Amino acid sequence: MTPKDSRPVRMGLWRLVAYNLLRKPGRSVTAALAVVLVSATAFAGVLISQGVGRALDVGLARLGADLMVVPAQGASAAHTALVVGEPVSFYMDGALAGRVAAVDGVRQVSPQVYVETMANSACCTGRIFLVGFDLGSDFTVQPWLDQKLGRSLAPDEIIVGNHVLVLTGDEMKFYGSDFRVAGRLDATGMGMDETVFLPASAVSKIATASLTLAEKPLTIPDGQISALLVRLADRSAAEAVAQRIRAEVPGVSVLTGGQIARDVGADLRGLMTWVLPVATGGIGVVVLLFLALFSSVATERAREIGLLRAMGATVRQAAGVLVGEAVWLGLLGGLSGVAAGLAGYAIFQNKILFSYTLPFLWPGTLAEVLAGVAVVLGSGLLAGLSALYPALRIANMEPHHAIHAGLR
Amino acid sequence: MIELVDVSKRYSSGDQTVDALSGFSDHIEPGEFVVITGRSGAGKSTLLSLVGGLIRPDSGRVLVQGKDLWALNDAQRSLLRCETIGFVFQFASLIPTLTVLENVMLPTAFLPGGDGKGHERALHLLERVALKEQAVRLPWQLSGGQQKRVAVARALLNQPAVLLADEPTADLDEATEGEIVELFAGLNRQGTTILLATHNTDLAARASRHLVLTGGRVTRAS
Repeated sequence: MTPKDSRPVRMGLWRLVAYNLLRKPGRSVTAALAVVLVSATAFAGVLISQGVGRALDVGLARLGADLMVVPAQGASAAHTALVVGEPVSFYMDGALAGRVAAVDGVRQVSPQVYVETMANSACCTGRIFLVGFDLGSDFTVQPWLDQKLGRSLAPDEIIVGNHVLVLTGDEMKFYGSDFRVAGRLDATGMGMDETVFLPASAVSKIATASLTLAEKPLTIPDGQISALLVRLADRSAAEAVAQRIRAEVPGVSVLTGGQIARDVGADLRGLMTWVLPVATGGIGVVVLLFLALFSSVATERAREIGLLRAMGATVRQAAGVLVGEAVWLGLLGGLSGVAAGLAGYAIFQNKILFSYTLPFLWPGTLAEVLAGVAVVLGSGLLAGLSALYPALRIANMEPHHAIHAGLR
Repeated sequence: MIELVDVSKRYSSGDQTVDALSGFSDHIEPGEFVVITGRSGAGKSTLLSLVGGLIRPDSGRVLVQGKDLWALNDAQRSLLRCETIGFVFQFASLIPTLTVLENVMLPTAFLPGGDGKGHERALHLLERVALKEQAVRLPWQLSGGQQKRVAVARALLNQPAVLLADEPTADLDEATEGEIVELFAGLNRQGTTILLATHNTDLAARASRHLVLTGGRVTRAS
């Protein structure tokens, strides 16, 4: 190529920075890799935190109940079912519904029956969490049915959570009984995404039919229920009513929205106990690495910096070349880290969330773009600040000494 | 053009101190071609660095175009260097990650706003030093003499009034040395003030003035 082929270029500091990075690819990639690790961890941490928060907001709002009353021994399992949709089954006396309804501050009570279907059996579509709700008193699924279907469910119809892999109109088999999918709920990020809802009366029929149709019959003791969803009277405080229920109805646990959020928060903190040290430790390592790298680069390139000063670069411009290189490495590393964090999250999402019993709902593209931009800019800023001291140290040398120091 | 008033510079290293320049005074008129000779350590490079504002004198004043270099702030001094002074160093002074053309154009990066003609002028200067065809090569692809000619072209890009050359012909073969000296003589004929430090006393014949430095002092002037 001759200069005739070359387009007129305007030589600027950013071009010098870019060429220094592009024409030293080994050094650039090595430095950027350290940033990738930290920004990937930071972005994945932010993504999970935001997703968990959104899932709690949306999921608890969609649940529509202020309190959930379960058998004392079922509290932990209920939390798991509610948060991640892990199939559970536990039972308590259905007569408790009346006693809970009588507690001061309770406006409405609706029973639910939980069934855990079998994973590897010809009688069932798979291991799924079934929730039988009472058509007469329900106030959580029914409003959705009224709005979306404009009718109630037929005895052989079911509603599926957003993540259950069937289409509307498909058939599902539970303990030998067939059901048709009437609709799909919107995503909540919580356990109801993995849940199948059906009328409680259908659960009784499944149990009866399972005696002849299923390999292993479904046994639900007569008059037993799994949970009571409670709606509070106006101006009643959830914690206070929960306290009264615990006092007046022995043998039950009461989950409140606040309690669920606190439990999820504790689980999230459990996850963050390794995410935060990795991220903060990584930030420290990156700062030290960039300090060491740019101290060495600055010393190695003292003559070059001195030459730039001799050509008319100010201290700020000369230091800006090294800092600019660090900023670009930080930005590119941050961008790659965000991509890696996203990929890592996509690959390990289920393992992470199930291991820590965390709900998750995609926080929204805008929120993630903003988080990604913040991580990328943060990486650039961090890298730039790390390189600032060594860059200024060399740029502030008298050019004569910088030039001759570089010769030694 | 250039005035040095009782300028001294001392280097310290541990317990040792060296007087690189002691009480040096001189006045260099526009268009002069001053050759400075002397042994290694005589203060030649220090004198050029002082004139170029690359090093601060311990005492005395250095004025370029009537401006006291050390009364200016960093930005003002840098701008004066960028607009008025071109440097050619003894060593290979090209930026290794930039092509020949980009190296020559580099000084425009520090000119506020630039004049938009850097590319055109760089190509012209490369043609003048017979290296236009090498414009897109990287420095390591050139010989030592070619690199030195690129450095000269770069020093001339902003059309400086003063050219400071520190051993520009060191390590060059005779033919290349002759080309460089002819280039400088031509520039001087066009009005560029040149200060050239060298071991080669033969170059003094081309100069309008010859200073011999010994131990930081002028011992002979002609």
